[in-house]
Amino acid sequence: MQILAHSVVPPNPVPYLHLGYISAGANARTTQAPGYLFIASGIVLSALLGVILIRKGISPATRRVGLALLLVSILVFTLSQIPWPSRYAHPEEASQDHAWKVYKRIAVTRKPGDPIPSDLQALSKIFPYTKDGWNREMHIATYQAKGKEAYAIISAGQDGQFGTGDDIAVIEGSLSHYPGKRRANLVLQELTDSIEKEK
Amino acid sequence: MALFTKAHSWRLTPPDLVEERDELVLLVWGDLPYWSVVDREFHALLCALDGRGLDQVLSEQPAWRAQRREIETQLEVLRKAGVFGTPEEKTPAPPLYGTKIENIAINLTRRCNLRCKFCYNLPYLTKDDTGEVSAEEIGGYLRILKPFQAKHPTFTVLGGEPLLEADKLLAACEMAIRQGCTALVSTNGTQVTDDFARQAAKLGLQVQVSLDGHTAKLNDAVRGKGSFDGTVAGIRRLVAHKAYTIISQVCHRGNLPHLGAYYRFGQTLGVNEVRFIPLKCLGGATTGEFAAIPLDDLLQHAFTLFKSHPEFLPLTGRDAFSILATTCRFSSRRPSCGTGLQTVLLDADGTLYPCLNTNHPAFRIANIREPGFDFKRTWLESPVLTDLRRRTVLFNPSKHAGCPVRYWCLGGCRGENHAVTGDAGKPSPDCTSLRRGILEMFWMLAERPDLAKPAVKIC
Repeated sequence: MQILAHSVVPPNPVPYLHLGYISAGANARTTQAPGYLFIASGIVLSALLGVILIRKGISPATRRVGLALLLVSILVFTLSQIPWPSRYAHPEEASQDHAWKVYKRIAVTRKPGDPIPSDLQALSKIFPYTKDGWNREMHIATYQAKGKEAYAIISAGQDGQFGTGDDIAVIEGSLSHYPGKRRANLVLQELTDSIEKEK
Repeated sequence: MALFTKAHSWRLTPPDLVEERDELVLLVWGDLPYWSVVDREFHALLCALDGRGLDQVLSEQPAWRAQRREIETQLEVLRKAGVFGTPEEKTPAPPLYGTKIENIAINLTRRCNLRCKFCYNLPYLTKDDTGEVSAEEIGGYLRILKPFQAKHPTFTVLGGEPLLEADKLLAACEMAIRQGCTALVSTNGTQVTDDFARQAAKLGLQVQVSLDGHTAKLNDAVRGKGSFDGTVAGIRRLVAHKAYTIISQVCHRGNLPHLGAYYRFGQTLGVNEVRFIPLKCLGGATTGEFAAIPLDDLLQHAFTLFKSHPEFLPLTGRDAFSILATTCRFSSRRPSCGTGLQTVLLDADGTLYPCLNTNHPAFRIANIREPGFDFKRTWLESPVLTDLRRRTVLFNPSKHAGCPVRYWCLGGCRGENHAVTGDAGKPSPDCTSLRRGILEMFWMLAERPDLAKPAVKIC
C-alpha cells in the first residue's frame, strides 16, 4: 500500500494572482438578474431607512414608512437567501460539466465491489451537481462494456426528453477517460457500439 | 469539532483522470495540477475514505490497521498536494502578468550558408544583409529589457547562421552574460573557426550545433550535400577548445531509429550534451517532406533507449525527454506556455515577436528602430501581445479547460498551432499524442525516476 511516484511543488513557486478559476460550464452562470436586483434593492432601501431613522423630529407617519421599509428590507434579504435555480448562458456546457462531476464523484467514492447506484437521488442530497444546465435532474444508466459493468450520466438535453438526439452523456470509453471525449449525443441502446467504434 | 475537521479533511477531490495498468493506478488532478501513481490497495483506501475519518476506515479493514503509520505518511503527502477537499472549491488561476522574461531570443541575421529543409526560419532567409541590427542596437535593447527579465534568463542566438556575424555574436553574448544571462548560440557548425571556438570557451558561451543524424546520408538529406563533414569538423574544433558543445537533432520518422547511434556518435565526438527534439510543423517543415513523430512514440523510444543504455544519461539534459520529465515532475500552474510572457524574440530587422516559434507577420509586436519605441509600453499594452496572451492562457474556458494534463502540456507549441490551424489559441493539432505522451511520462517516472535528469532551461 503506497504511492510509487507523484509530482511535487517546485522549490520556487510562481506567485499567483487570485483571478478566479474559470472553467467551461461550471462558471458559465451569467443570468444573475434576480440576485443583482435584490442586492440593489437592499442597498437603496437601507440607505432610505438610514436617512429616515437618523433624522430627529420626524412625524409618526414617516416613522411608519421607515418601519415599513425596514420590513421590506428584511423580506428582500430573506428572499435573496433562497437558492434560486441556476441559469446558464451555455446550458449544454454546464450539463456536460455537471455530468462529468457526477461521473467522477461516483467513480471515486464507490467502494470496490459496490453496485453502481440505480439513480442519483441519494447523491443529489449531498452533491450539488446532479441537475443539468436546464435545472433538470440527470439520470444514471448502466451498461456492459467489454464484459464490465459501466455507467453513463445523462442529461435530457434542451428538449427535456431522454433518448433523443440532443441528449448529453458522460460515459467511460475505456480505463482512461479524457474530458475531451466525455460528450456524446447518443441513443442508449447503441452506447456500447459507439464505444467499440471509437476504439 | 476535531473529529468533524478530520473527517472533512479526508474527502478526496475526484481526480480528473484515472488510469489503471497492471497493479497500479494513475490519478491526475488537472486543476492543482497533481498526479500520483499508487497501487490498487492504496486506491481502494482513498475510495473508502470518502470524507470519513481514518479511524473508521481502518476499523473496517484489519489488514490496513496494521499499516496505519505508513498509511498516514502517504495520506499526508496527498493532503499537502491539496487533493483532499470539497470538489466545489475552485482553484485560483495562475497570474497572467507579473512573470518575468525567461528567454530572450535573437535572430542575429537572416543570412545562412545552408538551406535546411525544416529550418524554422526558412521562409525569411535572405542572401544579403538587409539592414540587420547591430551589436550596439542589441546592447541597447538588452538594457531596456533588463527590468523585465528574470534573474537568470537564457539568451539564445539564432538566425540565419549567427556565425556569419561572429564578432557581432560574441559582442552580443558578452553583453548578455554581463547582464546575468546564460548565452547559447544555435549554429549549423560549418563556420566554426579555431578563433571562435577559443573565444566561445573563454566567454562561457554554449554552442548548440544542429546535426540531423550520425551519418552524412541522414544529415545531408536535411541540411544539404557536404554539410555533414563541415559540421563535424566544427564540432571537433569546439570540443578541442573546450567550448560547451551540444549537438542537436530534430527527430522525424527517418532518423528516429538511429537515435541510439546518434548518442553513441556524440560520445565519440566528446560533446557535453546530445539533444533531440521533435519535428514541429513550422517554417520549412510545413511542406510535409519529413514525417513528424507523435510525442508519445518519441518518448517511448527514448525511454527504451535510456533504459538499455544508461551510459547515455550524462549526455542528456535539454532533450525532449528530459524537458518533459522535469515538467511532469512538478506541480506547477503556469498561466500559459509563456509565449509573449516569458519569451521574446528580436528578429534581425529589429522587429519583436512573442517567441521563436511565433516569428510570423501576424505576431509582429513592434520594431525597436521605430521612433519613440518604448519597450515597457509595448510589453504591457501591445494589442498583439494582449490578444495572444488572452488566447493562449490555459484557463481559457473555450479551449483547454477540463483537460487533465493542460498544465504540463501548456497547449503545445503555439507557433505550430498557428502554422497548422491559423489560430495560436487552439489546442495543439497533435493534442492527442501530447496528452498520451504526458500520461506515459507519468508512468515512466513511476517506473524509472532515475532516467530523468533535471532539464536545462532553454526555450
